[in-house]
Amino acid sequence: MNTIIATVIGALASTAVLVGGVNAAQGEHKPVSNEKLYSYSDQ
Amino acid sequence: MTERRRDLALDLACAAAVTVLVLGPLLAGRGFWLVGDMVFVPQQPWKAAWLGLDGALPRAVPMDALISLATQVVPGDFVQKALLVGGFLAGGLGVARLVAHQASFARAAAITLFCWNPWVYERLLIGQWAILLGYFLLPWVALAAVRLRRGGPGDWAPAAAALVLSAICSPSSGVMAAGVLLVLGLGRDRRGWWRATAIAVVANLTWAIPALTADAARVTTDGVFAAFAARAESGAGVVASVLSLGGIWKTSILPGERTSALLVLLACLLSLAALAGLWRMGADRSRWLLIAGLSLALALAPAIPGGADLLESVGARLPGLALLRDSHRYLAPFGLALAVGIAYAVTAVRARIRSGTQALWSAVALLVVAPLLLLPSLAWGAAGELERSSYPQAWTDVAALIDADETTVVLPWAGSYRGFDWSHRRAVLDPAPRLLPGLVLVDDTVRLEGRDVPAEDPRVGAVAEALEQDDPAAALRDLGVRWVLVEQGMGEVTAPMGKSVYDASGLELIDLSDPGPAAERSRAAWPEMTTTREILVAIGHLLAFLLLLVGVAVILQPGSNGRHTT
Repeated sequence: MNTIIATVIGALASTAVLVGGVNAAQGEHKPVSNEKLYSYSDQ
Repeated sequence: MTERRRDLALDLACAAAVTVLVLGPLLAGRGFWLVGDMVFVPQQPWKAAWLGLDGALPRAVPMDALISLATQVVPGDFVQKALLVGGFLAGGLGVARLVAHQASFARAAAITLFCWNPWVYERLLIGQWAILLGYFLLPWVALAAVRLRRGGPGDWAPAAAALVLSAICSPSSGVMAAGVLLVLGLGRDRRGWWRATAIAVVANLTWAIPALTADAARVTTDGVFAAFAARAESGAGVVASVLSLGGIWKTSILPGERTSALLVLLACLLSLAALAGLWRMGADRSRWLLIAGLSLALALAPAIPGGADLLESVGARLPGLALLRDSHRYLAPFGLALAVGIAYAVTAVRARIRSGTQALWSAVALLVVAPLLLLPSLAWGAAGELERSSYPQAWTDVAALIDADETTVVLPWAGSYRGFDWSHRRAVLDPAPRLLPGLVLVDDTVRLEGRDVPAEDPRVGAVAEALEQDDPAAALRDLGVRWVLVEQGMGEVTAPMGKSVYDASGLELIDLSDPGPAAERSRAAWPEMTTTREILVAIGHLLAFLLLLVGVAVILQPGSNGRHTT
């Protein structure tokens, strides 16, 4: 039972760490262009 | 050390760790986080408008008044740090106290989920710090509600204090706090109903009376519900986004991980675990599930087919419904319910640990740290997204040239958000109205994709018309405008003719009174406060302030059990 639990929890945790880490690392600061500056645009 | 003190120390350590991990870069030195609606200035001059006494629609009444008073004593960047740190700590400790009878790891899970989730990230990145503070007060509102329902001497005092503080944060915070108080605080005693209702009403007078008496302002609900409706952040859809506490309309601020359907679905699993925990909590289960359900329904209402149209048609007859625009913010009570629920979920998992299932400890640990794993971008100033900025000396120099009874128009006249080089060209609400003395007018037209929502302040409309005249300087002078402040570096600006009295570091101040004196204001364009309105607004503030004072006094009274809310 312990093996099954550890496998499931390990899989969930490693998926979150891997996918979350990769996506977070891809984030970058995007300075706002003059055209978009005054807009409530969702872009 | 007693068990109670040890628990408090553990909760404080957990909340402090989360706080430092989120706010670390802000705390590492002097300077401001300036982003979106989050505008703090070194010293905010006092104005009647901060109390809603200028006849315009109140924006941050009375929070701006308190900030103004605080910055007379403490530099604005310290005020910002104190408010954000205090908010995170108060939220963490409050939610831990709500589940005080649970084990330390269950309380830690409640703290991490409550203080570290997509709603907190998105509200921080959009700059709505006051709404964030209102969110962090919700656990204290819930504690006060439970106290009120149990009855006893001074039972109303915590509710009074928590409700007034929430209403000070923002109107929507006051409304959410009232909702949580009514759902959790009402029992079979009809007297309790009246008391809870009276507290909710009086606490919210501080913003409600200025809003109701500002009849010169135009509130538009046309198209705003659809424009500000919750959005799908990933392929998992809008319901999954909202269920995992995300889904803000402004998708440009989303962290990378929220655009991953897999991570959003994993976050939904965490929410479902929390809801399952709520189901197991016993006595107040139905009340907490009602809070979660109402909050979720409000947040999703404009996003469901026909929802925005329905709200818009009702809003056309009932302008106050504009309070529900950007309904995603009403997910705040859902966040609180999930935080309470996750503590019960962790306790339930712990109860299943026995010989042969010790590996379930890893599940307990995972539930505690899952919010951090699912949203690593919240760490360290949104993963470096939020950088400290300092105002150039030019802002202080310009403020020193303007008197408190003068009017300034800020250009470019193209919306109220700016991207200064000294602030990393991050879009931020123009700081001029808060930094300069006197009446400062900025174009507050809400510019949406494909359409503009007109400014709510009639003075803005009058200035817009004046700027389109052949001689805008004369037209502005006729409106009583003495100064034009041109903020440079954000596109071409055609400034009215006048004497340039200051030009440095991207700011030019033009004096329109040269050669002649500024004219008297056009009474037709400017909202004016009648004595009756001034008295009404003053009474509203006075009643709310008295309620807060008396409530705090009762809580602090020796022998009072107002503090023992669990």
